[in-house]
Amino acid sequence: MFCYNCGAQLDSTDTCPNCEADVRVIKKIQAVSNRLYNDGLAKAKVRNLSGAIDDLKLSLRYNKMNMDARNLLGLVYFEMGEAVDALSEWVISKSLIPDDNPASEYLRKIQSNNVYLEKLNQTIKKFNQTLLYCRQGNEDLAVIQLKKVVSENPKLVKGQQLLALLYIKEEKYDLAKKCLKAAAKVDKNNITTMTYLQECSEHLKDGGKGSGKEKGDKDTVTYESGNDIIIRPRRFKDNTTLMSVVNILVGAAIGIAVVCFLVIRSPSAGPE
Amino acid sequence: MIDFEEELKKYKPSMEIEEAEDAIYNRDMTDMMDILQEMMKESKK
Repeated sequence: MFCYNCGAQLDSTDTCPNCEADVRVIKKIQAVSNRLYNDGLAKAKVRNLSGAIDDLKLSLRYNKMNMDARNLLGLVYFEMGEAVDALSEWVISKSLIPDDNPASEYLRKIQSNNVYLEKLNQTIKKFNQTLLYCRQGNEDLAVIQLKKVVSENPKLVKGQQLLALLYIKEEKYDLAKKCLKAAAKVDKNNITTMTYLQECSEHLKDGGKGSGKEKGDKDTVTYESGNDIIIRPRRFKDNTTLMSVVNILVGAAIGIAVVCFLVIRSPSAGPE
Repeated sequence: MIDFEEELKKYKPSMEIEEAEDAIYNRDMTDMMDILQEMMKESKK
């Protein structure tokens, strides 16, 4: 910890060893900031990224010079697909604390890859375009665009959530659940993801559209196979072998009939 | 039951790379330490 007045390193006493300023309150603020950082770190380790963001942002509100908190916040943003937010945090971290800062290395790795940066920017523009489509009521276009976004950046949690929301509106609860599972894989315990999942589960339990379960009073069965949804008649029997044999027998019978009536001549049609 | 329009309002556009510079410059970097220093300066006056 450092003195807010002169910047000297503090010791265990309640006053600064250099300028003798009262540093009790400062020490408490820094302690709170460090505790919030520890909480954020613990949450990040178990993939509760939304919770980690809240703790780390609060930690920085107490002490903006908490380098570890700011760098971790950048990492969490990056993991959630919010790369520009991540870059912003690392740039700020590097400008506040230029020496011995891991943020320099993070920035160097990203900024050295222009192709990645360009792809990232395009993905962001597409996501923003998608939001515009949604607000204009062009949900079909939004779904098409958003599918491209999440295929390019599958860790973009809000992209997966928005796509799930669009599927929920179209009552495609199975597809929505798939997106939400992808989002939950990145960010567990995200409230929006949990809310949407609950909605999907309720509808799938009630036998909503695309439930994938057999319905006793319907004539079709719907299930997923990879990325496809298969709909087939409930009573479906595969009897192609039997039909092949029957076809052969019918063909043979027709052939014999042709032989009898066309090749074997009748007695009245003799050479005389 | 989820209200699509209400949920949609919660989604904000993501920041593009070109906007990052302005966002960083315009960010409010005040923290508790700054507030406390201000208070101490005011009390010394």
